[in-house]
Amino acid sequence: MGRLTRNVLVAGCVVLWLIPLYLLVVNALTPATEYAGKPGWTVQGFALGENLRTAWDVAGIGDSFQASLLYSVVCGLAAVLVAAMAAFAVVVLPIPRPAFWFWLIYSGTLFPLQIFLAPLFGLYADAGLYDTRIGLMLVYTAWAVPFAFFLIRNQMTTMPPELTEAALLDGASFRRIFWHVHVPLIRAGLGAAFIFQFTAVWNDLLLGITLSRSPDVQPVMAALTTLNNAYASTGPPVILAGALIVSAPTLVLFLVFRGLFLRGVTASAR
Amino acid sequence: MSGRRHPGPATPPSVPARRTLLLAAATAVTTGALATACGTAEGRPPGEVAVLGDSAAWEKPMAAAGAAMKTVAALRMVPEVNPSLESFEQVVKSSLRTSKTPDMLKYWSGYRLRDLARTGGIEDLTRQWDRAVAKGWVDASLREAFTYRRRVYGLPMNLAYWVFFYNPEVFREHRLKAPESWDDFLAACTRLKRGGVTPLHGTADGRWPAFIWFQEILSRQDPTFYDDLMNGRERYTDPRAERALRTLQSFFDKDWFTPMDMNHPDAAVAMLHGDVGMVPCGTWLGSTLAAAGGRPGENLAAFVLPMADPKARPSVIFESSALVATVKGPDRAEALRATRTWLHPAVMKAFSHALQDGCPNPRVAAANPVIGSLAEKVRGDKLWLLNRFWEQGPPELVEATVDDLAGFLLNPSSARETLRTMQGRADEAWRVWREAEKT
Amino acid sequence: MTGTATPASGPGAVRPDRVRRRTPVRRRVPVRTPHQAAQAGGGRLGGPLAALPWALPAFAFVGVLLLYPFLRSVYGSFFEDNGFTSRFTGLDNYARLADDPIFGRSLLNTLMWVAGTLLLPVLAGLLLAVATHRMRFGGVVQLIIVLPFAISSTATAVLWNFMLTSDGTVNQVLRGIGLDGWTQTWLLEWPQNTLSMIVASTWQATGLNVVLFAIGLRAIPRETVEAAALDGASGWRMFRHITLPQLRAVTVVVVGMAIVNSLKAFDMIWILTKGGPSRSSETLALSMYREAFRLFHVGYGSAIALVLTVIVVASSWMYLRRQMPDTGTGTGTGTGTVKG
Repeated sequence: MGRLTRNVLVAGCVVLWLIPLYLLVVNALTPATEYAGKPGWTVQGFALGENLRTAWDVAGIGDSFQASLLYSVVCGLAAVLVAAMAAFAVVVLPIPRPAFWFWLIYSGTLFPLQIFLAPLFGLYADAGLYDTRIGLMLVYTAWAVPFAFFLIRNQMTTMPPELTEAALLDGASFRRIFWHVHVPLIRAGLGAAFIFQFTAVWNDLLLGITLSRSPDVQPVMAALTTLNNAYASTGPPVILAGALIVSAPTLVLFLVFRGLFLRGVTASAR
Repeated sequence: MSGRRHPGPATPPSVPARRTLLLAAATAVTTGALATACGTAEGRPPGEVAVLGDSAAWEKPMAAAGAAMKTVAALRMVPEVNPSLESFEQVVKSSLRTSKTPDMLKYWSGYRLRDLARTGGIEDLTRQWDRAVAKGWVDASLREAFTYRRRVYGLPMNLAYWVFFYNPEVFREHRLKAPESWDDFLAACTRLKRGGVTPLHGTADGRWPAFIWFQEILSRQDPTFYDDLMNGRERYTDPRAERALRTLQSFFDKDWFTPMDMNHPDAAVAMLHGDVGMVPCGTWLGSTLAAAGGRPGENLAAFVLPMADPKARPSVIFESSALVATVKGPDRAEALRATRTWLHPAVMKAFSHALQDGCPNPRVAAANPVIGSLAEKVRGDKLWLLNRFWEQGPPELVEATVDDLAGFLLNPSSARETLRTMQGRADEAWRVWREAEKT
Repeated sequence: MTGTATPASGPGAVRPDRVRRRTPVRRRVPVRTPHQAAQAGGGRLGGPLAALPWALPAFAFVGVLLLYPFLRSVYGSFFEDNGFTSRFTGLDNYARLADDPIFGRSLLNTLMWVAGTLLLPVLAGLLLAVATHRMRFGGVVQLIIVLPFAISSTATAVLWNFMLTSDGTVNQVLRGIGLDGWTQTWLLEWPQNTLSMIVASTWQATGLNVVLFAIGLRAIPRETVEAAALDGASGWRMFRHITLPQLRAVTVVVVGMAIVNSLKAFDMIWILTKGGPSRSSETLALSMYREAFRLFHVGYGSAIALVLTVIVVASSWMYLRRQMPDTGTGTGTGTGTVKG
């Protein structure tokens, strides 16, 4: 495509994408009492600090922030590990009927989430896992495994079989092959899987509020939602400010890892 | 890259500093959080009882009431919140039969409470109610809303009136006062419209608000019919129901309404800024209004919509949440103890003042001047308290009819068709409800 | 409800670069039997069962916490449960589906979501990735496009409410540039409410696809491109015959996830319209949620869920089977190449 067309296209998209982001920032800055009932295009004052504080206090974000960080980090890591092992088994090892295992694990991502809620609640109530952090961590891990598995498996299939063969001829165990041959080679893929599952767990609301109710167990999105309750709304500026706080970890993760990703990919591609 | 976060043996020797930092941060968070982990649903420590609700706005009032109860009953109530009402209801319904059920609930009154009561999962609180009435702690006319088969299953928490909020400064500007008759109301709308103010807020945003206008107009034109219709004794296809929708249609014809996708928080702001004249809502909108800069008595006041039929019994719609104790909750004894003092003036005062809403205990002074004058008007004029549309009739029916009413709001010429659909649903829903009643 | 915010897709991050030393130009991505490697040294490592422990943790998690609850729900769909009693009704719940006028609308909306998602976020993602590839400031552009992915859905709801209400930004802009006739009540009428929500979700989901495709593009070996250029390929031909086939592994992930997530579309709709007004923007996922959790028609809700699941599984299977013969056919004997 022509360079001009390309630049126009890209510039157009950037503008389109920036408009909502601009509105987000401008309206998060607006003092809650200055908000005019519809989106403002210009800055109406600077009350970001105040809005952030209101959001933090009203929603009680503090506790749940910590809980969510725990869920996202631990479950993201656990899911990536478990998924990588499964992918290893399905792609590299002589497991019988690999297609069966693939669909069995991948199916977890195919079902609509809402269908799990009621039976899961029953399960959790019986098992004493309801309203515990361990319980949420288990379900988040399970929820994150299938997609991570899909991602990692796809990547493993592109690795040359000679690698495994050579390692086997050297007398390496599965364990050794996994940790020393495959894991180092698909680091970028594992990292990507981690980021996506971290983000997914971080942004979850439905599982969190169905399976817990104590403020110190509930995830941060539950706290954020309280800002926009039908019965009492703190108003858009505060909600947006709250959203900014809550988006911070995923944003940081993206920024940091994006650098790592592309560097890693480019380094190995050149 | 995250490979090295695994506790595996593959960690390469040289790790860039940034990653080490990340890893360290992750480890710190993990261990820190794990150390404080493991909240549990196994009941609260002695002297505490948890109340699960669906609104975070009630968290501080509950905590205040809990603290007040500590002084009168040596028992502290601790709020828990599930911020999604769908999820809240689902958790309540699926947990009621297990020991993981919350000890106490904030629930809806009316048929929604009845729906819960007939599962047998919540406690009969009739004795607590009778005692409270004897002491003058509660408005006795509210009993019906908390009753199933003549027994009381919930105690009122708040008492919100459904009113029209307006901005007195804007009204003064247009030489208007709060309307005292139906004609006053129509005249106010006309004048506001001429003055460039959108007179009325109407919305279908968020589904449920679609019932507001039908409820307000119908209950002012014929409160008895409203009450009968809501209890399945009259039919939606009745001319009186159609008259209400036709009136609503005439408001649309005069272009009195805001766009139907304007939500309540935005409407609250628009009213304070003078863009919208009147916003019909429960008095609980007060906290949203306050957050948007509303000051009761200055730029914020409310009136009860006057009767359209002056001969009908004067009425007002109310909304009251129920405090419920579950049968299987782990702290059942303490929950029952809490119900005995819930309506105590000290507890009620702490609660309603923190909530800034009306109080079912007539001995408690109003939280603010807007609520105060409304309560005075309701009690002084002996207005008939009618429960809200949302709490009336089988919940399953209400869930469907609000969607029909939303359809009407978007297409106001479809009155008859809308009512026919609604009656079709009502026939089926009431049949199912009565059948379940027998078992 | 952020609940279903499954990441729209992941970096296929399949990297042909690893094998490029042996790769002829224009090679197709190799698909081989997953077993051959291990079988080469097979016997000595114990039988096929030795591999099981590696798959078991994943299976345990998925099986106990996802599959079992799912099967419970399927079982429930043969009952009518009103909260007190539950009686077996066989296929009644499925028969009711056929009579439900909303079911048709839901299905149509769901299909619109699938078509819209494949058309917008996937295609736009590919286009933007290619356009920004090796472009000055391309990285910055990609970053801007991916930012919305990090923003929680509560904020997205508020923002798009800003954009789409009658007094919202879109209409303000349209009026501003004199296109008053184009102003709409975007969220109140079908089909524009479904369409505008697809656009809103495009805003949120495209960035991820851009990043994935960008990773795939960067991994295309330079020699491949140079060799093709020497052969005289450029522009569209280059894209069609070199770039696209090289992106195949990424595309599988992006399209695979797009199909699944669009069929399950829930979040954006729930936070903007709750399926309304008057149920006009409901998708199957919303219909199911409404039946099961608002009306407590648990059996009927499960029946809708099962229909939805069958559609998701069938379409995923049809897509992935073509794209991944090594698992799709279930025999484990790959054919060596796939159509690019």
